[in-house]
Amino acid sequence: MDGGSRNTELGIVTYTFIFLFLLMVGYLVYLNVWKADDLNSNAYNTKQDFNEDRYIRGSIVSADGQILAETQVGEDGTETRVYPYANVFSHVVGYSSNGKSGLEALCNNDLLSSNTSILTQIRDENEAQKSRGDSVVVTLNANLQVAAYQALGSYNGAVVAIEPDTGKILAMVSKPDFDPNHIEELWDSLISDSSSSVLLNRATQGLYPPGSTFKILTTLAYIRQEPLSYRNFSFDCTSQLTQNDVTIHCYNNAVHGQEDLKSAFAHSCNTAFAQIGLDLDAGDFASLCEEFLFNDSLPTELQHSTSQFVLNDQSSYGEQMTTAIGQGDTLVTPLHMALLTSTVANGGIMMRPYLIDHIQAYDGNRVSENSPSRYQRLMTAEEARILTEYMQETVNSGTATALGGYGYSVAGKTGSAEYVSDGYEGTHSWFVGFSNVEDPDLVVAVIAEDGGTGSETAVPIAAQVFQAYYNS
Amino acid sequence: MTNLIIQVSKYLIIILMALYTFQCFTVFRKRSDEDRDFLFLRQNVLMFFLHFVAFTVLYLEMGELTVLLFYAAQAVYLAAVLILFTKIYRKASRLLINNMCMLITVGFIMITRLSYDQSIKQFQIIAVSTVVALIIPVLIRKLRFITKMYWFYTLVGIGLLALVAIAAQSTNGAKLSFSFGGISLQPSEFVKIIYVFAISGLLKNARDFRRVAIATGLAAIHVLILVVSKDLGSAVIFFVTYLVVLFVATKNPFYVLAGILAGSGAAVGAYFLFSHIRVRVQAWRDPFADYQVGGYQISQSLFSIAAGSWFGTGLYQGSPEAIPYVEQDFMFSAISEELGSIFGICLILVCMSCFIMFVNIAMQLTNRFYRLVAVGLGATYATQVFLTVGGGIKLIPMTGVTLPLVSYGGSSALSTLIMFSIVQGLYMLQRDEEKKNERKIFYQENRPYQEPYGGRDAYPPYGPGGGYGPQGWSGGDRPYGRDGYGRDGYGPDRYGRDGYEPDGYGEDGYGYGPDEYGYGPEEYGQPPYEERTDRRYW
Repeated sequence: MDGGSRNTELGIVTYTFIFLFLLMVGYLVYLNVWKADDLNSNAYNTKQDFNEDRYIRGSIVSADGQILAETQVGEDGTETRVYPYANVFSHVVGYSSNGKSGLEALCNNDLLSSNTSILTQIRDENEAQKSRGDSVVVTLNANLQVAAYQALGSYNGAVVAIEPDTGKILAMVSKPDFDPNHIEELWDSLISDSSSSVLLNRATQGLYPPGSTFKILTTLAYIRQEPLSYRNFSFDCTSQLTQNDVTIHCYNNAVHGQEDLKSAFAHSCNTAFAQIGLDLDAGDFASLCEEFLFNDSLPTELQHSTSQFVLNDQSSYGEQMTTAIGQGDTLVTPLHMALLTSTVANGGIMMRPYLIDHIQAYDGNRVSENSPSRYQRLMTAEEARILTEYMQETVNSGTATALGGYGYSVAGKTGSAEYVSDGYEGTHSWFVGFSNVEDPDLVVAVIAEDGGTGSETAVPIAAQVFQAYYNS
Repeated sequence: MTNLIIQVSKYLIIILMALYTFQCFTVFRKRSDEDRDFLFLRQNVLMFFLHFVAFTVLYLEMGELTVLLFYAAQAVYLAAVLILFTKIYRKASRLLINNMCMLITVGFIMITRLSYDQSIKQFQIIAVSTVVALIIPVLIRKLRFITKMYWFYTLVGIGLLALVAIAAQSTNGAKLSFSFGGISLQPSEFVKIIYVFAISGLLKNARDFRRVAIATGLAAIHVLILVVSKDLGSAVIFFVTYLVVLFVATKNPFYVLAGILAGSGAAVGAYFLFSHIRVRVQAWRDPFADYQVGGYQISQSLFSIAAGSWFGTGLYQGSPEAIPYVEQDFMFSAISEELGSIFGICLILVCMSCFIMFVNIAMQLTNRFYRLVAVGLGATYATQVFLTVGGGIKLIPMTGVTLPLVSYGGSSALSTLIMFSIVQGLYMLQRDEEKKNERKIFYQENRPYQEPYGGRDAYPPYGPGGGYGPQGWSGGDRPYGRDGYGRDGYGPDRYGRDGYEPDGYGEDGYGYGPDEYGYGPEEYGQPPYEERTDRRYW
């Protein structure tokens, strides 16, 4: 009888259970390292509310040092959350009573933690004062936001401005808006009004047909399918194209005549792009769009809707043609359009968009910092260059000429997205583009609901945003 | 100032716990008994210190003088347990006693934090249970007939479980307990122990298939009754324990494989058959999808762990009470929230150390029945820890069992204390036997070994092949060494050799594989022999 072999089976049992114990340890580490942030900012998580008794909610500050939200403590200790810009930042900053939204929800955990020095905390405790929570400094530029807010005027819709090489969101406007200072009084009317959905942040959650702005992706798909011959593309636009009972018209029944790919793009010729839609392999087109994050979530922690793209090998001719010109069943969020544009502006690399620049304690010490992070290269530098060239042509001679003549170059694409809502037929006005083409500074995406063509409404709005950026 | 004390104490508690845990594993490296005794003493000091710091915080937060009295009572109790066990049972495993007290301490702290009333009740139950537990080792040593009564155990076990299934009150859909005059009893906690005795008896001589089939059938009845009672946690514990005991008894991996297959099949069947199982699995896969109903508990548990992060919020700084049934089923999450995940990891490792000691003791036992009992109880314990901790951290679906000795619950505490005491009893029993054998061997075989090492020990000489040659050694059934170390190569010098898990447990391993025992000359260098003067177990 050998002592060793007698215990082999006990050894196996022991190792098996030791493995299970270590698995638990490993999973606990995993939870803490990779899952804790998600869990702390989970919408159901009310843990932080207990901290409201301990800390005064911290401030939200813009990149240019303006207070966007702060808690003021009265003589009697009552706390009031104050939003100095009222409606201007209503969606992106959000509100913190009657639930939480926007940055108030996203940064709830940070705003209700205090990283002030231990001495300050002891002093506060001795004076029976609550400690001040940490401040969140965001990437938003208050000037630019105000300009974008005013530019959008009375239109419902959204404006998103992004720095293409960092992914910093500089402005994010959504209308209709509300005054977060009075959210409690407004609450009942806001939630009972289901038709205009005021509380929805249209910049990240509004889903719109992209209209002709989508031709950026259609063009890219065509270039990829015909890498050698796309330059020889030639189409004679007679203002309409019919295939199996479906007829596509150019906007306002314009006749563009003989054109190549670049001029078809610049003039936003629907019939030429409907033809391209018929020529494209639907499966390849769909997988390209999915690479560009359609039917997928965007690489950001901001709450957002998923853009939608429906096309496959079984799709009808009609679907192929309408999809190619950005109608069909395609739906997109303004933030997503801005990201696609900044991918072009950034030479093909998509940066992760972000709003929180850094967290600092009440006494000014930095607690944590976000730095730009690259999501992925989605197109080659050459592809980005061609698209930029086409988009610049749009400003030089196409649908966005209103943007020329300033002291900086602009490349862009307009869109006039037709929609039907409760029997009403309207057109959303789109523009996406970027300034200083050689080394892009700013990407702007504008949608004005029922604003007509891109040229007449969205382009002037974008022009005001670019002006504000360069004049401040 | 209070806040500062709370913040500092938070880190202090973690450091104390980490040191304690570290020593649970470095103990295997210590060479001399003095070192080892000193280390055990240090563990006790760490434990009392931790207890003191935690109750200082609890007192500051609660502001009631009675908390100080309660603290004193607990400290006296812990000291009494340590003294009684080590003085009455000199041969008992000190590490197991220390761990038992540490787990009780952590339980006291956290239950007091969560509910002062419950903690007083729990303290009373634990104190009474400890008295019961103190008697157990004597019973194990004196009442040898318990090894033969397995048919009786089987009947009692099945009978009790059936009674629960038919007559017990139902709590949250599961039938678990009986109440008599304010005391609620959960029979499955005790059947767990009886069951281990039953299957160990049934399988102790099991080499043929018929015997295995009978044992399997009887075990399956236990498990089925538990499933019908909707006591899923216990059902899994009983099932896993049976597989482990079966494997150790028969050494046949195919039985285990077949068992795992049958178990998986049954689990899938149960998933489709019972809606309450589907609810649990659903809550595990996506707790937030079904937040309001099934997912609430596990979501809150995860929020707790995330809120605590590595260092915890500090006692009374979190809100673990948001988790339903936190004192029973989610103690680990509450601990992770307020004392931190590092503390939680230490706690898991202390539980692992207990399990290792259970198996370690099983390895030293020569009697097949006792061996199976020890490993069966170890498997019961380890499975239960895995179910409750794994469930709380969402590694596996939640089954609703307690964390032994830490969670609130009288039946659980009593049965775990009994379990620990049985293993201690078995350990001492083995050492009694060895003492006897050793004397016999010495007198029979002392001819070739007369005072070979400074007259201290009757050590066998090295055989010609470098090991202990059988020709030089014919000491009956104990061919190698003495004190039970020899047989399995469990001498203290042996730890610290074949290193499995080099980082986790110091440099030593618990190498159990036959090859790792290496009785060769390079293993048995000269120095260890000198030191084995008055070797004791630890």
